[in-house]
Amino acid sequence: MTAVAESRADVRPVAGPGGHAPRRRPFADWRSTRVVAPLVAVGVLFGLWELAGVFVNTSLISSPQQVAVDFVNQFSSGPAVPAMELSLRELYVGLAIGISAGIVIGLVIGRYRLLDAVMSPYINAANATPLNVLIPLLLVWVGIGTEARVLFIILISFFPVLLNTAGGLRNVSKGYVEVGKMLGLNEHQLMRKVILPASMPYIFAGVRVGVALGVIGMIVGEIEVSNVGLGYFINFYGNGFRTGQLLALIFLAALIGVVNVLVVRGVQARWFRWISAAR
Amino acid sequence: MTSDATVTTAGSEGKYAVSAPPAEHETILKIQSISKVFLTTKRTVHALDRVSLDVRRGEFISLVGVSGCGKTTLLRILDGLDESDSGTVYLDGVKLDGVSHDMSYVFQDINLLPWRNVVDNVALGLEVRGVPKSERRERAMEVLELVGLASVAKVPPYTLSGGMQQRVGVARALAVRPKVLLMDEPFGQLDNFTREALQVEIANLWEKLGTTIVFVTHDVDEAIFLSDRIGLFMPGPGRLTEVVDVGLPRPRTDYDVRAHQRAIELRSYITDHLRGGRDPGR
Amino acid sequence: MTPRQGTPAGTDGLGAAATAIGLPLPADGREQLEITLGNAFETSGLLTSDVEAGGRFGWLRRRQTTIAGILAVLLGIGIWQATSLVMNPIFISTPSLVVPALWHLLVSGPLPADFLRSLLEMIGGVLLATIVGVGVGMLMGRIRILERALEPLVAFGNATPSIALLPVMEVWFGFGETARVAFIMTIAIWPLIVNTHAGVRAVRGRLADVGTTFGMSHLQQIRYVYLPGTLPYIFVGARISLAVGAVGMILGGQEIGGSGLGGLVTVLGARSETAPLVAAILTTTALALFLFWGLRQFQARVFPWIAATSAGRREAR
Repeated sequence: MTAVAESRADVRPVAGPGGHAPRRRPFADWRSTRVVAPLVAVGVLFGLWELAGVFVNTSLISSPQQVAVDFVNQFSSGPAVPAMELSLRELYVGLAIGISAGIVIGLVIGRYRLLDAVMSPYINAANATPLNVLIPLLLVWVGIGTEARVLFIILISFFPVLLNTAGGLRNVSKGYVEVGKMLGLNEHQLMRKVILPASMPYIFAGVRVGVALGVIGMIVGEIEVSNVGLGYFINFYGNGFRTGQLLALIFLAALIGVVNVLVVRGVQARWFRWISAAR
Repeated sequence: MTSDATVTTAGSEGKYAVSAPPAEHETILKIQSISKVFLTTKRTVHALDRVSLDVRRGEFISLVGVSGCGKTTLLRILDGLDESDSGTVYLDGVKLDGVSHDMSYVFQDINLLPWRNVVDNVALGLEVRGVPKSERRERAMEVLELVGLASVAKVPPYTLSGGMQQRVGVARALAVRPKVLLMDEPFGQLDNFTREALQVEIANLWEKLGTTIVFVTHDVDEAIFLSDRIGLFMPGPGRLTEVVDVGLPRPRTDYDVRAHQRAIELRSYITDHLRGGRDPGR
Repeated sequence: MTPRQGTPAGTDGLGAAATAIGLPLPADGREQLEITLGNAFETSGLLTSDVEAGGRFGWLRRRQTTIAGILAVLLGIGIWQATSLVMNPIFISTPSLVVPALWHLLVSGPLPADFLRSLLEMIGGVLLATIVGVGVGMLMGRIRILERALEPLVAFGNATPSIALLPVMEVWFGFGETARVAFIMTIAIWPLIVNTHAGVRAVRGRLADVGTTFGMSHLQQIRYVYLPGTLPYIFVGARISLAVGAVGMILGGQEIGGSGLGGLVTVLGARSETAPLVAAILTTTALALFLFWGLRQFQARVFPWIAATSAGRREAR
């Protein structure tokens, strides 16, 4: 909500009272810097990369050219696309279950303080734990395979959604609730017309985090538990020092993460425009 | 003897402070000996100490006092948002228990629901009362016209200025046609100019509708401009010490109230009183 | 119970900071006599909203949440034990099996060594990530060119699942601790960069004039205005770093040379020895809780004033 003020350097100098334009400080023209600077940075990065290739054994770092070639090849003839398909299917099943469970249980816990007090030691403990420590246990339960991975995604996406939903419910501005009460809403109407809408920003925040964590969970799950999917190949290429392919897949994984979160943001913007505007 | 508000008759202290309580049949709101105490670990706060007041039907009465002397608490108790520890309130002879459908409240921080547009905010109270959809829309628009905001009916409320938002808040409260309108420092968050404009609007609205209004403020001038009577609150413990008649001619918008002789005297009387100078000792 | 404020390395770049910085506060208002805090709902059932209750049983009412929690844990343990009546203990084991297993692991098993190793690697990695991450974030915030140059790169790095770089770490740093620490650092650095940067930007907006008005040099500004102003944000980033770093700690332990708690659980799981496995998992939980607690204590002791600022208040715990 607070717009971070851009510094004075961003204001383009105007011609002063003397009539001639004041001397422009280098880099003061923000429009071009915005494009040039990152390119320079990337250029430096590539430069260092090339340089490193000279000094270090090329099996550790393949040259940018090689990487580029491999990168493209991954998509055309490599296992990237089918692997992605599989990963995504598991991801969405896991997310669907994890997020809906998180919202439902979050609503219940947010509503009843007793439940909150009772469940919170467990939830806090689970939330603090790095969940991949549970993977061996999951394997004991359901064996190696898609169930284990989906279960892991469910677990990892569940908690942020739960916490944010419950927190949102409890943090609903008292003012809104009093308005509702003043107008005569009963408990049920209050919940439906005031408290739930007011919790939406929090719920969305939780879903965003849940989705992001779910993507990570997808990758981790595959690194540990499988011989298929994106994560597996990432591991495979990494172990084989095939940097080009590895980068391609990492890029793909990043893309999946970003796209999914953008989708959530898109839904929020389309149906819940007031959330960002009302802050 | 319990200390009800001092009802000073004419002649004693000065030419003001004449406030005969309304007759039984004229009283719409009968507040009897309301007390409330807040207990915390740090201190015990006597927010209200046996406050009693009779509000006349159709009058505009202000409750004035420094911050923290209980007037907001009283208002919230009237509306059912808080519970009193003892005492009762009767609205039109019916004992109040919790939120009443015949009273509305205008909040200081307005609190328009951001997920609804303006007209839906106003119509919310009607939804609750089971008013059918078409009639809801009609009545909401009606009341929006009353406050002059019919043109922004469909916009999201956060796009409006503070003053406009509060007008919507008033509209929302009026849409349900309450018997009593409770206003809690409604213009406190607004700048001076907006505040004055809204004071005029409220005065006009009241003239038009004749709703009973109980108005809490710490601004003495505001109270004098708007009200028929003013109840004076003192803190520690919160109590209603006196009710004065304003006695200025209406409509108040026809002249400059601040320059009126009686208003000036009344103002200094009230300010003195609130500062503790004229408190008839307790 | 606080909502998990924030985003792990894997979400939407700088937008992450905004979410991470916190959910908005409920409207304050009416402080003078508004003493009862808590749930917007009416008190229903057993727990009331008397956070600051006074009076005869005030002390009891104020602690009711803690008491309920303790009772819940005891009850939970009881239920857990009872599951052995209906379920094969291979699935979740029972307290009566786990406790001796834990004891055994502690006394004659690898647990203390593994615990220590994981803890040290974690602290090392997160510390490095903090130093570098806060440094980069600060520089980005103060030097516009650097900011414009690095912003897209940081956004990209933040969005990438750093987990995927695990094999790369092995390649570069071998199969030992260096690789694990480097791995943790790579994962944990992004939230710190992003949040520190966001913090500096926020200070830039609000407090920048304070420095210049008093005629401070650049260095003085950093010391007196920017550093303190950014600290709440840094701590938010630190919390997230701990969370994601812990994932890296376990993963690293599992994949890079089978050591530490990560390695331990993998081995136990492979042998389906559920009781010690559960014990090891609970130990990991304890470690994680300890780290978070440590961070909170650090913040509360060394920078007690953070809790009172608005950004600090949002991160209520």
